Amino acid sequence: MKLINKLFPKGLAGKLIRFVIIFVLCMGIVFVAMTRILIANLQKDIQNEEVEREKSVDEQYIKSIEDQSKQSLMLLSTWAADRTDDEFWTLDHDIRVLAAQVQDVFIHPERYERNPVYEPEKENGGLPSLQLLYAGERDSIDPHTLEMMERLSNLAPIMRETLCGNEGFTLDVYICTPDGVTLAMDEYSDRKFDDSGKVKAYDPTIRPAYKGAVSLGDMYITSAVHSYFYDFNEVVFACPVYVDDELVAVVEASSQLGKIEKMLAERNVGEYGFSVLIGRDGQLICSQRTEGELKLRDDPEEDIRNSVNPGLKQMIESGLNGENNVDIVEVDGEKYFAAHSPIETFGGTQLSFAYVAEMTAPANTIRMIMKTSTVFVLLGIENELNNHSLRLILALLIFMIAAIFLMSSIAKKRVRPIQQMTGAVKELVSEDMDFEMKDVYRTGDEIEELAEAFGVMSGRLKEYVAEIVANTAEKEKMKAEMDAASQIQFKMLPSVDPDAQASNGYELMAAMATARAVGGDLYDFYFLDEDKLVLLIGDVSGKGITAALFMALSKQMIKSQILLHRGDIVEAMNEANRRLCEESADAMFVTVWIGVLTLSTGQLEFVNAGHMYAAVKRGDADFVLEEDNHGLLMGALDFATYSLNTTTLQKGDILYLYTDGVTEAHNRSDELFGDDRLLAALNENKDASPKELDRIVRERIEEFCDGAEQYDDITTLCIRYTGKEQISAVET
Amino acid sequence: MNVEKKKDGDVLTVLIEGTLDINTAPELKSQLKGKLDDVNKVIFDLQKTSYTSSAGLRVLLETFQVLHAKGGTMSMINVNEVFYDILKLSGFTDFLDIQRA
Repeated sequence: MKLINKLFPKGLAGKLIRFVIIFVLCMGIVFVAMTRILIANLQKDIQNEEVEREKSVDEQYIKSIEDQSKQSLMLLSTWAADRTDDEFWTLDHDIRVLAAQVQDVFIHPERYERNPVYEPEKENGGLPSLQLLYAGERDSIDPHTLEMMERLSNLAPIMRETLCGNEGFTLDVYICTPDGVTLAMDEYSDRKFDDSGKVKAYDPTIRPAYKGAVSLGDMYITSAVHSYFYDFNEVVFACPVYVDDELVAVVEASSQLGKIEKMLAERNVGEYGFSVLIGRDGQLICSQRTEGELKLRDDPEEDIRNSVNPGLKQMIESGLNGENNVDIVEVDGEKYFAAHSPIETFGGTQLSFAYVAEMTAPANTIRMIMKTSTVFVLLGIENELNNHSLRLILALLIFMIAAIFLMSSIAKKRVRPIQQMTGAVKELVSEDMDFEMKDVYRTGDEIEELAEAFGVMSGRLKEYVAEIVANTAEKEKMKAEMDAASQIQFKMLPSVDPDAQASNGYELMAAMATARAVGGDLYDFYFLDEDKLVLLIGDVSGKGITAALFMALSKQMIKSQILLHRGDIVEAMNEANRRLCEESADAMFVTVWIGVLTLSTGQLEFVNAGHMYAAVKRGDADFVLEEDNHGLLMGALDFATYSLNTTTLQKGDILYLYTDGVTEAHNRSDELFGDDRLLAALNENKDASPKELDRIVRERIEEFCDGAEQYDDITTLCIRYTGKEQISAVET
Repeated sequence: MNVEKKKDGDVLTVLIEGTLDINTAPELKSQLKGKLDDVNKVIFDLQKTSYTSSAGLRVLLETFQVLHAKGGTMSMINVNEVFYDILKLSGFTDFLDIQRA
């Protein structure tokens, strides 16, 4: 707690420290945010680049791999087809040679000795041996056919050569006659027996190869057909032999399909690559596929072009047309590079397939490696950022704490002069206004300037205070004098004595409220004799002392003239005006309403020297302003003369005299109280006593002014004529 | 208050705009100071003067006194109702050349 108080002092120092904390915090937040944004941008860039790279791999690398794959496949396919063709050609050639020999035997039988021919014997298995095969009994064989077979046995060496000279590609070599007898050369003597130990009956003429050759009249190559004797598939080459256009024999040689497949497989591309052999009529001779579109058909003669997809069909047709080509086709929904090359030997085509995905696998691998590396880079950035975030926050915290301590000490040091100065200034206010410059204030910055200013200020203050003290003393003196003057002035005005009035037949109320200490208004009333009451109200132009002096002068001047002229008020006023003009300096003037009321009769004679019209209430009527014969205000022009107004008041009539302080009283909106408001106030309770009437009027003025400062004195004189006799009667 | 003076020979025309009261009257007085020496007639144009207090009257009276002393004349023109009433109350209407608006 103590530490916190020490770190966060009150006042200026505390504010400084709080400011630093907030500043450092904001800086930290901004820094962390900026780092985050930068990293986010970097990550985005890396990801974008990754996408670009992937695109370029796709565009460049994969395309090049594809091109290369196609090219290689084409070359390979052509070469493989050539190889296949070569094998087949060799076989084809051998058979044609053999067929020519067979034809020679039939044309010149006498040139070939008869040698006995025998049925297969088990012990010959595994050796190339000549065997006689037929259906039925040996006795039922046509003797001529048998004789020809005995003569054909002379071809055994050629047949053996055909069988063995072909690297095992040739399975067997048969010479078949149209009446179903066969002379065979193969190594499978032991495999032609049935379960009862008898040689299986064999009729070549119902086999596909024989029928194909006969119907074609030329070398015929079967599709893959199931072997009659053995449990595997074979492809059979069959070549008819004619003598004088008469079919005398069909020479056949078969090749085990497995061997062809093996040969084809040797040329496969990749793990998923394969090859197929297609016959001239679109039949699938050989295929390594065990499922789908290119699986070997149950019916070997089926034209697969009718059942494969269009792309593949087109490729097969193009191959059958003897063209070389390579393209991407679909097999069972998967993409393969496929190249086809013609096999001229039998007018078919060989198709080599390479699995596209396998071929482009390296590109995918590269792509994957790149992707992985990008992910690793991004992860690395993320990790680094997280590690650094911790460090950053730690560093910020340390920085903040250091800043707080530092600022706390600096602020206190900086603020110390201010604090001391504050103390000094406080003292200055309460004590002797001495502000002494101290070394602690000499900070070389604004504080020093401030201290110097305080020094100057304290000096000036002292002077001012002295001056003010002197002035105040002077003013106090003046005020005292003005108060005295005010008292004197009020004493100059007659006091209202209600008792004296009632017995004399009138009720009178007069009052002056001055705007300043002394006023410029005046009122007066006095008896000329027992029956005649002089009434006077006046207003001196200007305010204050000058007005007050002129007011006193005017009052005495008029009174003395009235007394001198014994009630002739016109003559008295004329003379008073002349004298006032002589005395008047600086165009001072005074408005005066003066009248003489004869109390016994109610007759009122009066002179109005530039004063307001009197408000009069007669009988039951309201108060009205009664216009009169006006003269010039007094003290203005010495040649001015006045004329007399005469009227009579009835008992109960009221005369209300006032100065312009009443009608020109103003409110804050500078509106004037005016005649109408005055009359309205008087008529509120028009039969009230003069005192009450005066009270009402003054109250209304106060309400109207609502605190607005008044410039002018407010003076009123109100009299109700009651009549002497009446009062006496009441008294008696 | 705004005062505009126009001199034509020995005739000075004074246009007073605003109100003549205890605050503005001294300014009118200072504006006229010394301007009456070579003037025989002063015309106060009061078409834009709304009101006068006794302080204003004093300035007008002083002017009249100066002119009257050397045989000059003073007149007021375009005097509005309120202003006229004040002049009438003060008794000036008997001595001065006053033309109502």
